[in-house]
This record gives sequence, structure tokens and C-alpha cells, in this order.
Amino acid sequence: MAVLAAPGTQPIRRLSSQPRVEAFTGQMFALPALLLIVGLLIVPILVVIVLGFSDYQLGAIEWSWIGLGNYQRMLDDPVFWRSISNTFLYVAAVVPGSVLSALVVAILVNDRKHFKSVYQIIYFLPVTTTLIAMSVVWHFVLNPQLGPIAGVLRALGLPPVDLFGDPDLVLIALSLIGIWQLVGFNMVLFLAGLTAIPHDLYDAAAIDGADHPWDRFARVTWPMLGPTTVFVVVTTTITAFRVFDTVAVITRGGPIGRSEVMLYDIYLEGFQYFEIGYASALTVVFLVVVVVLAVLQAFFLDRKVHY
Amino acid sequence: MASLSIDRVTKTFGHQTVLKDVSLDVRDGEFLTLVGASGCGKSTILRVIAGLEPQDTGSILIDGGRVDHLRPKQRNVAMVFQSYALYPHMSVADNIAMPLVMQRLRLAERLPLVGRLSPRRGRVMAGVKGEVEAVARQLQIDQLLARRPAQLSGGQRQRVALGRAMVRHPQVFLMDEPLSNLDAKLRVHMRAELTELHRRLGSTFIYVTHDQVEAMTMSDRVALMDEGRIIQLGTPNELYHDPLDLRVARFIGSPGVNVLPGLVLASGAVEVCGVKLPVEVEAKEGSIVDVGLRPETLSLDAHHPGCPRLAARLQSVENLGAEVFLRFIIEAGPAEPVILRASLESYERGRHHGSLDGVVQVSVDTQRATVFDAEGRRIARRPVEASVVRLSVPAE
Repeated sequence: MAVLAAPGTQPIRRLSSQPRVEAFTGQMFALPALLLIVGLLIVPILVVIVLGFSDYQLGAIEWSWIGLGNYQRMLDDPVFWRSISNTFLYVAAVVPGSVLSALVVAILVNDRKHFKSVYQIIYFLPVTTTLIAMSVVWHFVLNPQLGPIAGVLRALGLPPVDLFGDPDLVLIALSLIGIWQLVGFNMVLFLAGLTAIPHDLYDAAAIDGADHPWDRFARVTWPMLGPTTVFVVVTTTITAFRVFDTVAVITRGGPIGRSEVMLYDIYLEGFQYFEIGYASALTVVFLVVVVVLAVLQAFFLDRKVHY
Repeated sequence: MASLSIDRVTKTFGHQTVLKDVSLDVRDGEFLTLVGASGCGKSTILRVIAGLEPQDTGSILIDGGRVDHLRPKQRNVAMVFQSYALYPHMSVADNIAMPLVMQRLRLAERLPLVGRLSPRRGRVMAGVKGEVEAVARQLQIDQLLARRPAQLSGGQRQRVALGRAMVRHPQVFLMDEPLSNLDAKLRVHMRAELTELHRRLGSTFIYVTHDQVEAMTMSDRVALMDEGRIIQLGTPNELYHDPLDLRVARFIGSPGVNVLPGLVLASGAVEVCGVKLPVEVEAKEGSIVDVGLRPETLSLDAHHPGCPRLAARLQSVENLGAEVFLRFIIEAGPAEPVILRASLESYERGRHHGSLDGVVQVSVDTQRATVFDAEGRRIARRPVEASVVRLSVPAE
């Protein structure tokens, strides 16, 4: 009987094991990437979430679980609320500012016949520089005593403006630097979007009567740039939320806390006051805010531009 | 509906002259096709007519009036593009409505939000909607009006592009290879449909293609272009049977014309591959010529007693069912084969008798042969009837 059964069972086993072998091979190929994602993204995030429920301080020997204590503390922390509102104000200025000006610059540069690449390089230069170094430069340029801008103002007989020292102006000044830094990158993205628009569409529009610059923009250019715009807005939003370098170098959150932002707050709590537990909880809040906003934007905007 | 004239137009891109002194008169209601290999300037002519590309010299006249100073939208021409050039973010209805919206709404009324304040806008848009629906019904795409171009098949997109052209009732339709992006079967179908559309609208169509079959099957007249010039303008029949240039003979017809080198004899006959063809051309004795022989001018059976024959060997057979194309290598001729078109029965008869094995005598209908000089220009022939009588019977 065993001899008889063998030929019958063997092919069946081979058939059923074949997909399993293929699946195993596939999983093995995906394993290195999976390990990296887990090790570099998932585990650190989990560690941060876990630490957020503790009162761990850097180098402390004794620490304990405090549940939602850190989050409770946040609610009563004026610095936390200031940094949230400052960050949102900064994002609200930088995103429209850098996206719209990048769009205008991209269209202008794209229409140029000569020196196109020269303009591209000029606008892209800020992207290639280190923002820390550039912050030092901006600090000097806008310095009310030593800076060239102040010198010009003095020569014109105007009072010097201390952009980083004035509580009402400091966020505007930081936003302008943020826009300056992002315009080049967004311009390159828009330029790529513009070159992808088929020229036939402009020809068809000209014959259909849409040859006024406004119509060309509103009927062809802008809708065709829709997917690019979604990408630009989402990436710009995330970048703007991560504002840190300029604050850390130029203002250190001042004057009177008017330029405190979320990442700077986390940095202070974690690396100046060594409150790792509290900094972790702040990081979780930051992460949730950014992810929720990015997903919402992608979801709503994507539906509008889908074709 | 309108006539259209192209008057001595030249156009240069950089150092390259794309149109060299082109003149062409298109009659009112005519279906005229510009055909030629890619890069011959045919699309550029269309773009110059539309006003998308300014010409260097010369004029475009529609119904006798110059339109050179007019912008594309003012010329009252419609264009169908090879890529369809539909607006991907708009519905089919909005795509078709585009020319009417642009014509009938003022700039302020087209602005988002602000435009809605105009009391006229609603009335105009209702009218546009009705016309769009009428055109869509004509093209049988009224079920698709709410869809986006991405949701349509190639043939449906083509119809939308046609609808956008038709809705404005243009004086001239310009079509730039509109069928090239369709698959072969649909292309044949759309060919018939475009011809029918032309008949129904009665408008002037200027159609650009690189496909000689489209040119032959659809057009009232065909202009064959090469290197920025129109080489020959005529009916499809004229271009096929009476080409004035070797390039025309070669371009028109599928499979292509057989071209054999020949030597003009004292009598005006031409010696081809050692055989004397009594074509009686008006050319100097001893000049080198090219003789064009369409596949149907060659035959396995004698056209008439004593017609000239070329000794050849069968190389390959292409059976299309009703007719058969046979490729022969001529014994004393060039290395590339000549193509012969035979009826199926003639081919079967030959095969049955075994007369296709070994050396075959291929008969030549010299009456329909065309002769070209060294520059490719057609050489006129003396009256043929007389020459047939005087013809000397070649030895078999």
C-alpha cells in the first residue's frame, strides 16, 4: 500500500510546496530592507513612544513609569503651547510663501530662452548650502549694528530695524529665511512639472481661443501642475514643521519666547535639561501633528487634482 | 466652409529650410491630404495655416482673404492633433465646450468665482451645453460626456478631439495624423468614419498623414511632399497611375513600384535587363533611365501576343487569399526582387503546370510602364497605340 500511495502523494506535495518555496524566497529578498526599516524607523519610534510614558532623565539611574504624566505636564506648560502656535504660524507663512513664489519663479525661468540654467542655479543655491552656516550669515546681514542692511538704512536716514530682536518681527524674519531656503527646491520641482506638460495642449488652447496669458495659466499650466503642487505642498509643510537650525543659531527661541518652535523645545528639554521622558512625549506629539497634516493634505488635494 | 490658398510660403527653423516656396490651392469642401515621409514639412504647413507657427515669407488666404495677421483663434480653423491634445483635467463635455466658452464668455466671466456674478454667464453656458450635446450625439459619445479623457479608449478620445473641432463650425478642419495613435483595425474603421463625416459636414478638410493608404482612400486630392516641396498634386488615381516624379511613384502604392534601370535605344524603346521594352520615350539615345513597373503590370500570363518578357526565378510567395504577390529575381537584372501581382487562379494554374519552377517568363505590360530620367523626372512617351503595332517580337 505504501508503495502505491507514494506516486500519488508526491506530485500533490510538490504542487502545494511550490508556492510556499517562492513565498519564502520572496520574503528572504525583502528581509534586508525590512530589517533596515524596522531598525532605523520602527524601533526608534517605538522607543520614543515608550520613553514618553517615563520620567527618564539622561544618565539617571532610577526612573519610573508615570503613565500620561508627561502629557499632563504638557497641557500646563506655557512653553509647549507657545512653541505649537509659533510653529503653526511659521508653517502658515512659509508654505504659501515658498510654494507660490516658487511657482512664479519656475514659470518665469521656464519661459526664458537664454541663461535659463544660470537662473536655475542662482535660485537653487540656497538649497545646496548648509542652513546652519547660512543662519550665521543672515544673523550678520540683518544685525542692527554691524549688518549691511542696517548700514543702508542708516545712510538713508532711517532707524535701524532689529528683526531678530523685535518680538513682533522675529517670526516674520525667520519665515522669510525659511522661504528663501525652500524656493529653489520647490522651483526645481515645478520646473520638472512644467517640462512634462505636452506642448500640444498649448497649441490646442491657442486654437480654441485660450491664448490670453491668464487662460493659458488657468486652463492648462495650473491644472497640469496639480500633482506636482500636491507633492510640493506636502514636502514643504513637513520641512517647515521641522524648523530648527535658524532658531537654534540666531534667536534661541527669543525674544521673550516669540520664536520658540516645537523642535527647539524638544531639543531644549532633551539635550539641555536632559528630560528625555518629557522630550520623547513632545516628539510623539510632533510626529502625530506632522503625519496627520501630511495625510490630510495628500488625501484632500489628491482627490482634487486626480485625472 | 471655405477655400484656402497657400501662396509661396517658406519657413526656416534655424539653418534648416522646412518649407521651400510652397503654393497650394484647396477648394471649398475638398478633402485634401498632405502626404510624405516624416520631416518633409507637411505638419509645418498645417501649423502655418493654423497660425501656430509664423511663416517667413508668403501668405495664407482663407476664402481669398489674407489671414497672416490673425491669431489662431481668429482664423476660424479647427485642428485635430495626433496626440488628441485633450485637456486631461476636464470632462469630455468641458473639452468639447472649450472653443465655445472661449468665444462667448468675456475674460472676466471666465474667472473662477467672479465670473459667476455675470447675469449673462448662465444663459451662455446653457446654450453651449446644448450644442456640445448635439455634437456628442453626432459622434455617438453622448454617453461619455461626464468622463475624463483618461477613462476613454483611443478611439473615443479621437472622437472627443473631433467633437471639439466640430462644435465651433470652423471654415477649415486641419488634421495632423489623427489616426496614427490608433491600432490597425480601428484605424481602418475611423478612416471610413472620417470620410463619412467629411461628406456630411461638407467642410474643407486638410489632412496630414505619412500613410499613403490613408491618403489614397480618403482624399479628393493628394499633395505629395518631399524635402519641403510639393512634388505632385492630384487625385489618388493620378498619383498612382501617372506619377510625375520617381519619388511619387515609389511613395504611393503597396507593395511598392518595381524600379528597373534601363537604357534608351535609338528607336525610343528602352532596354531593361537585356530585354527591349517598346515604351517609345522622348529621350536621347544612350541616356540612362529608370522604368517604373507596378506589381500589376507584371504577369505570369502574356498580356497580349508578343509582349516583352523578362526571364526570372521565383523567390517567395505572399498569398493574400484573393490575390498573390510573387517576388522574382530577374536573371539579368538587379539583386533585389521585383514584385508581381497575380490572381489566385493564375498563380494556382502556374503552380499546377510546374511553370513556376526554374526560369519563369514574366510578361510586362509596357503601356502602363512609367519612365523617369536620371533626376527622377517623368519622361513623356510618344503615342502608344502606334508603337504596339511596330513592336518587334523578342526572342523567347
